Amino acid sequence: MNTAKVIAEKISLEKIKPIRENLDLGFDLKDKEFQMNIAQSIKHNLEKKSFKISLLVSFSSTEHVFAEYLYDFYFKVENMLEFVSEKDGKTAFTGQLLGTLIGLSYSTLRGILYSRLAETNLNGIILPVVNPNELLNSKISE
Amino acid sequence: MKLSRRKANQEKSGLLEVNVIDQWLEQHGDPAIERLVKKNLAISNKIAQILTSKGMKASDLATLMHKQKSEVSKWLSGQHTFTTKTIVAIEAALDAEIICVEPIHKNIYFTVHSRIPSNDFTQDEVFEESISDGEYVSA
Repeated sequence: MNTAKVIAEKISLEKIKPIRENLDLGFDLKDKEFQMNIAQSIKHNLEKKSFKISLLVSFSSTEHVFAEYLYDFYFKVENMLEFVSEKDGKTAFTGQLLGTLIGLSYSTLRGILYSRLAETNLNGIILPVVNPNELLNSKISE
Repeated sequence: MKLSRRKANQEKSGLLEVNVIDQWLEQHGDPAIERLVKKNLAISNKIAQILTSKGMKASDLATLMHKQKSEVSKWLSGQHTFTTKTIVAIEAALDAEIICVEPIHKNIYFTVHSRIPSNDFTQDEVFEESISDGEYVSA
């Protein structure tokens, strides 16, 4: 088992890219229950020692998805190669590193959405704290 | 209440005089002098407070500092422009602080190096899918 340690100083968040931002402003939320769904995709570039974390957050009622936000977070990890292994013929990384990157991205997205939703009828919504392992298991379907 | 014409005129002229002085000060007053007067009064008041708190009189301060009583009275009237030397001498005589100079705060900074991301590495085609070989364990 790879026990390489995650060192914060060797990680840098290089870029945040909004890919999709949809909000149905006409949707009346009054007295309606809705749910929030979160999914991710993690991609890497060994040569550039970088990761691209895509996070998709959507809000839906029983009727339809009324808000959807997809953001890409680009990280550089100086000691990326220390976390590499192989699993089923694919390049794998330790859960510790991917969980850290997912956690960083998700926390950043929480702040972004809090600000983006301030002037909407989703005003005041704060993304809940979630276990990074749950995020690692919920992938964006291609 | 009935006022005699003379008295009423006197009051009127007094009011007029105050207004004229106010107007003149508004136009020609020096803000630095205004501050100086305020500071001098504040220093006089502080010295008076210290004397009261120590159960002393102006004459006691004059004796302590080998000064004429009239000079100390002038200090306490607020009409004297104090020099730092005089203030420090009074502080030493009374063993009390008249003016407190704010302490210097030392700031500790840390540096964050930022980089400008190069365009090429954010292109979608250069990324491969990543998988996890284990679970994340929180610290």
